[in-house]
Amino acid sequence: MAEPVLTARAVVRQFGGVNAVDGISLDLVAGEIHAVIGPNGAGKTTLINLLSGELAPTAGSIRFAGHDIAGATPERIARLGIGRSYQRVNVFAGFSALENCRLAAQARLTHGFGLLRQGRDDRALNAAATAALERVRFERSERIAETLSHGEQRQLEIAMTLATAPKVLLLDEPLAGMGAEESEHMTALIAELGRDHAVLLVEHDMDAVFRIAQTLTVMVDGKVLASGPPATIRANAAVQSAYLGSDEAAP
Amino acid sequence: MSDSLAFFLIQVLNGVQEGLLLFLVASGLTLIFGIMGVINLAHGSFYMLGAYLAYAFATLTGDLWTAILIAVPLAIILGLALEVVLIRPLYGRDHLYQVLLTYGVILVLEEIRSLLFGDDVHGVTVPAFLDFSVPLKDALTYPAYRLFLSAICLAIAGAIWWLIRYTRLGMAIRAGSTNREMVQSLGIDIAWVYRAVFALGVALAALAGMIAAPVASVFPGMGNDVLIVSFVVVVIGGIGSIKGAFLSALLVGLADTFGQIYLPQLSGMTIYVLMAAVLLWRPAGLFGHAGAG
Amino acid sequence: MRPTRHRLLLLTAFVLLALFPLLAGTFYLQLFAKIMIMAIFAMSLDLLVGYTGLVSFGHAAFFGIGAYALFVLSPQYAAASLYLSLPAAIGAAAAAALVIGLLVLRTSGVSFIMVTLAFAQMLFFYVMGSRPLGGSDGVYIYVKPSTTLFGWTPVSLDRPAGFYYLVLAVLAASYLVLRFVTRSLFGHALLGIRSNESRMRALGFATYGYKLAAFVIAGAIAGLAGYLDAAQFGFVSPDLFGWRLSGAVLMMVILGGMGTLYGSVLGAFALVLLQDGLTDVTRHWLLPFGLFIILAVLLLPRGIGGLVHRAEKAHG
Repeated sequence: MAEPVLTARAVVRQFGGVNAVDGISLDLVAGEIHAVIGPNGAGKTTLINLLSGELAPTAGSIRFAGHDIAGATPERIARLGIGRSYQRVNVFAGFSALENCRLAAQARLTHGFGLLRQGRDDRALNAAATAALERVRFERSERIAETLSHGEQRQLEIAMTLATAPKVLLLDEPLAGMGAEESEHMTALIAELGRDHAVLLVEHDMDAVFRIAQTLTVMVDGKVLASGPPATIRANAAVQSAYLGSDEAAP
Repeated sequence: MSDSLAFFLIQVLNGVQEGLLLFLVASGLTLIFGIMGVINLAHGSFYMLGAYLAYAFATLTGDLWTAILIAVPLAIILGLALEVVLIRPLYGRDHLYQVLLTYGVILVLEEIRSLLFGDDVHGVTVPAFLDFSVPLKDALTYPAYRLFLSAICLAIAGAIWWLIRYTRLGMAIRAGSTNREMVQSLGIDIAWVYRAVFALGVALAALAGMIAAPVASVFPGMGNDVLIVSFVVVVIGGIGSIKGAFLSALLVGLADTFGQIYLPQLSGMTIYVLMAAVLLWRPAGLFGHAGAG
Repeated sequence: MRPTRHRLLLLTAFVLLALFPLLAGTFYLQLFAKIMIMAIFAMSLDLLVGYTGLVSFGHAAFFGIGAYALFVLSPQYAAASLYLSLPAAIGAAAAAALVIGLLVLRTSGVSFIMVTLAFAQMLFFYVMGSRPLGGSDGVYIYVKPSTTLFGWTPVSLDRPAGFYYLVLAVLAASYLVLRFVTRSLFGHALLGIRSNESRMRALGFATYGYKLAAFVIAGAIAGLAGYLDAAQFGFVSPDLFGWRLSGAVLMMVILGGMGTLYGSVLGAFALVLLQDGLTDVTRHWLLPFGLFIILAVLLLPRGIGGLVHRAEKAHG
């Protein structure tokens, strides 16, 4: 197996006496989709927040590309090459899709504050933004973000994350609230992205997960219940009773 | 006790008294913000109105207590009227508009005060039965009214604590503005909670102005002065935290009193230096939550 | 509004203002100069409020610093050089904005509003208690700054028209500078911060630095306005740091329509003219003024600029 790009070891996050994440260890490898599944409240979103810098771990280590990033600021982690998408759509509502992606690309493509570069016609930014939107097959990029349909907003989410040219993608329930056809497209897109990124995929949609993930980690109550290739997980008795026995638990 | 110790004790008593009065005003401010999410710049104006109403009625009836009994309900009625007409449209709106609208309210209330009571500085006499001094040492004494003032403020602080811990309103208050749904599911009408909280805040500020009048004098700019200091108290204590407001108010009262005596070259900037220090160390305040506000 | 029509309107307004001294007497020249000074002040605040989403209720702090800087730098009975004192005043205001900004930007939301107000008050009290700075009565600057350079005096600021043109030039320059800043990538980032700061951080922007830079730029330009204010009538007082002024300039930004720069200029015109008109009518002018503010907030959520915007939409 290839060298992991991001490693988390014994990561703990405490909230007032409760360990939302209780000793999680996992590896993310380039070109591989690592899915994290588990019932609601298992700590999956907390895990993503810890990896993206929005929360600092109470204990444990997180290393990325040779850097120790446990407790680093979100902006530093983003600049190092970790991008995330959000469970609840978190875009710049009043801006067009293109402008959203331009902002995303701007962080990476400007040195300093960018005081001397005038915005709207910047070729490099426009190119990066357009490329990101094309990758997710998003059309008519001049539309305003808050007028987009739910599925389109989710596409925009991914596009924004891609515009920062990350090496690692942390995807937090990208399929949530999507219809059958949209889910198909998004799943295919994620599989495609998995080929040239290291992807952490938190999802409730078991069909999608078992189809495209190379590794699965099952989280329950903040701990790892089981981890391994899909077939192994599917056969695991503990996982079946704890989680897979009931139908996809998804809102 | 020695002279300097007695002097020191007097300053401590003064600082505590100033702090306790500040707590009355600041607790209303932090409650209104913490529960309703509304920043009300006119809060200090109620302190001023309380003082002027007390002065007016005390002159009329000759007795401060009667004045207070009349003035507090009046202030509450005014506060409720304001809440219905002006504050309610501000819920959920950007803080910017709340700031501007209540800024307009300050201007209006000040001019009304000017029209009704004029712009002079007034004094209110200490009620007769409290108009004596407690001896400390030799010629050093301490005014009994100030001790009484501190006692009242402590009693009110205790009442607030009881209210928050043991009543349904208190439960709603602790749930905070982030838990509207939870509050409503408890069977409490959120509009009623907001009205009650606003009325409580206004009453506290007005009452503070009234009972402070004998020691602090009644003058046009008093509302805005106390507002700014209350802001400092709330920032240091942490928004929405009554406990924080209490400790912070005492801290600020003592810092201000001792600053004036021992560091006159800082000319009253002690409390701002204190605020700057808290901002450096703990931006959310001593008991605040990061991300509140 | 389409860019060319927009530009044409602004140019027309500028030309009208430039021609104004040919028609107007001293009173109106001074009034309009005062309005333009407020417009510069308001535009600087718009950078914070309308573009970055930072509601500062203590912006007068930097206005006051610029004003008092002129006092400090003016010899008692001689003129300070405009070319030395003006940059120095801007520098002083910028430095203060840096220090204050480092502290206040550690908070956000309501706390930010409160601490900006508190720091302005701190300066107010400091100046009030300072004998060398004139204390609560304020202090006079007896001689206006001189524009003499190498023996040549391009304009005498003692003449109302001369001062008017200086202010107009500064207004135009400030507008162009701010327009350049807001259209740059930096400006776009500020708008992003205003829209969704946490997402900006997640994308890799060090938002604290951007906010601080905006705060310093805004403070510097406010100091510039304060300098001109002190130069106009030669009198400074602690009220220049006061919350009333901070509130008034905030009102100008909102009334005019924030996030447009020219809206702040409109707001300044509207508010100063309103104030001027009301003071003629009653001593208690703050009462109708306050009522006006209250009604404006209740009825016009997007300001005069918003009305214009809506009118345009209606006409297609």
